[in-house]
Amino acid sequence: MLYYLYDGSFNGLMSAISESLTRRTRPENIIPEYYTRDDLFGDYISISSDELKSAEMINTVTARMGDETLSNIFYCYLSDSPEAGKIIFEYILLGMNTGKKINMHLTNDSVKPVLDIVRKVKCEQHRMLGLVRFRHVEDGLYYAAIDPDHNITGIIAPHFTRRMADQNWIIHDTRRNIAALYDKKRWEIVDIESSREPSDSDREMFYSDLWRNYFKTVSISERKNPKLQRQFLPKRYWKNLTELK
Amino acid sequence: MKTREKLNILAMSAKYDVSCSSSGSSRQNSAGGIGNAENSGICHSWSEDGRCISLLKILMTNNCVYDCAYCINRSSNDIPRAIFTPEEIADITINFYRRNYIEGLFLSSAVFRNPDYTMELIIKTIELIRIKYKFNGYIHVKAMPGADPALIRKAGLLADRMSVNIELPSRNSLEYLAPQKTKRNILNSMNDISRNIEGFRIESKKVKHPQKFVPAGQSTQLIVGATPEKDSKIIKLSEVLYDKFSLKRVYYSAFMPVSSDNRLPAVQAPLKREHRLYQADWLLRFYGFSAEELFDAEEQNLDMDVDPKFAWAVRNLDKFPIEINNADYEMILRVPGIGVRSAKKIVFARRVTTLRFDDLKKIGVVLKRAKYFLTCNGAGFGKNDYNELSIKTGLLTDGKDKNTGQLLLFSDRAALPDPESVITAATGEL
Repeated sequence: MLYYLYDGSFNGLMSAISESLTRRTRPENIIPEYYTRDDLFGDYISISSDELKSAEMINTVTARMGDETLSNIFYCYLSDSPEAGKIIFEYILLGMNTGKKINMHLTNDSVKPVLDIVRKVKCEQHRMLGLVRFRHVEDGLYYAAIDPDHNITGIIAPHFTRRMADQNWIIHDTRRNIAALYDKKRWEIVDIESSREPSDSDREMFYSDLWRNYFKTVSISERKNPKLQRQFLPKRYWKNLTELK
Repeated sequence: MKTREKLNILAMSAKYDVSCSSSGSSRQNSAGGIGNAENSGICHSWSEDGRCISLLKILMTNNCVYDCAYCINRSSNDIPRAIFTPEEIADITINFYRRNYIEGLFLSSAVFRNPDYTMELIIKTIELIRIKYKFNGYIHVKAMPGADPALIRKAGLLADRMSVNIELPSRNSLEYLAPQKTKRNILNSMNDISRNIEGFRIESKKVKHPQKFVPAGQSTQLIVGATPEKDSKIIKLSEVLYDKFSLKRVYYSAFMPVSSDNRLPAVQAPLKREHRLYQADWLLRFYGFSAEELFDAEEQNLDMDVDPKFAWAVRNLDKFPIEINNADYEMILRVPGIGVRSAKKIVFARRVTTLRFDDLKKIGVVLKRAKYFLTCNGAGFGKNDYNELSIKTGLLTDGKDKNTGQLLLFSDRAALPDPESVITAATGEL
């Protein structure tokens, strides 16, 4: 069994796919090098990230399979799914034949897995626009901790730059140790090693308390339905929600 | 009175209004301002009843001069009363928004002194929020029935959505239970809003950036089960509201006794009925059905056992089965178990492949209900001589289906933990 390893970046993945196509191989999977290699008999080959190769691959995809296909590939990459590398590879392989019509093949086994993952990532992206909870903390900035299934910090940040344009904020993905920082002018993604969460400012308590109180009040007790609540708002998100933690 | 107490009282009094949507507006943030509106709408939380929380839903005051029998805030009800100042509302809204608790504000009110006076208080509040605080997030306000059209216009220029609640689906019921609110006043105010929306629409064709008037449109609410109106009367009213008043949404609220009054039923109306009305409403808005089609001559209420599309299809078996690989999109939409999303996928995917039952499953079609009404490349699903009775019994005795996204809109009893409330809860995005 053949496995390609890449550095975890999008360029790295594209380089590995490009290399695999050049070598005319069909790998079992393409995975970040820090994943566990649990196939005892597997051949693991590292491919280094190459910007030129990656750019060529991206050009090929958009030129032959359209912009939507590239977007699907990127969302699929952000999913952090262990199968993402393999799924993307098979998708591109099919695209080499079908060209721009690739996404009409909704039920094809090389397309459906991609569309399914893309839907999940976009769903969490949209959901998180509502679920990020900022706290006003010491240094006069607004801090939010999130723990999403997919690597969506970079794709939700632009929404908050438009919306919370006049406040400094941090959205901290505590699972991936990265954060989006915004200083009222620009935003960037940085690595954050410390897991320490900043403490609340003096006035924070007043509003978070008001919100928890409001949250309880608006529920209509005659229609109580915790199952339905969990269906829309799975428990795994609760720990970062002011009103539910 | 402390802010916390006031918020308790005025949120408690507002929560029976079921509208929670924050969609339909794409207001941009301004330089130095805060907030914007997202066209799709965003849900921020879900309360214990499973309903979405998108907007801070509060009343300006619950001090009411009216005494409508069904309303928790009626003047004869013995409940604590409070009134917010515009500054207080602005402060809570902005601070909740900065923490991303909410998508914006839904400001309603009891009729305090008179409709004009209440309307002026509401305008003062949203003016403060929009102008002083430069807030560009979502604002939904209630228009007080019978308020001066000039005031309604003023409010609409600041808000994203406006609504006037009809509450009771007929003039007789209104006269009986809400004598101070006349049908004429309600319809006049709705008309004021739709005329202004129409004006804005025409204006936006002529000038580049016209003054926006409730870009997310107008909505209303009907209470179901407090009065004797049949489902057909309710759905026909909704059809008129969508067609003639260009309403964006009609909300249905199963009656719940919140004040004792011997003119009203003592028990809660079934949530199931509310659910079926929402399904019928969806058929009007997204599936090309007319209200007339959903009822037959004898039966003026919706079937509680099966969804209204299914009920329609078994009454019209002569139109089926259809061949999924060449039927019109409009007809595919009418197949039970196929939603808008699946129908679109079907017409898209069949351009490059011939669809089989297996493919339909992958697309998300609920075959359990759809199988009776279609063929795939000439082949039916099992036997093809279905009649109304065999289909209905087949469906009702079928085992549990796995819960798919499709079922959120059209589900039967077996499919979801509690299908009745799913639609009401999902409305934040619709």
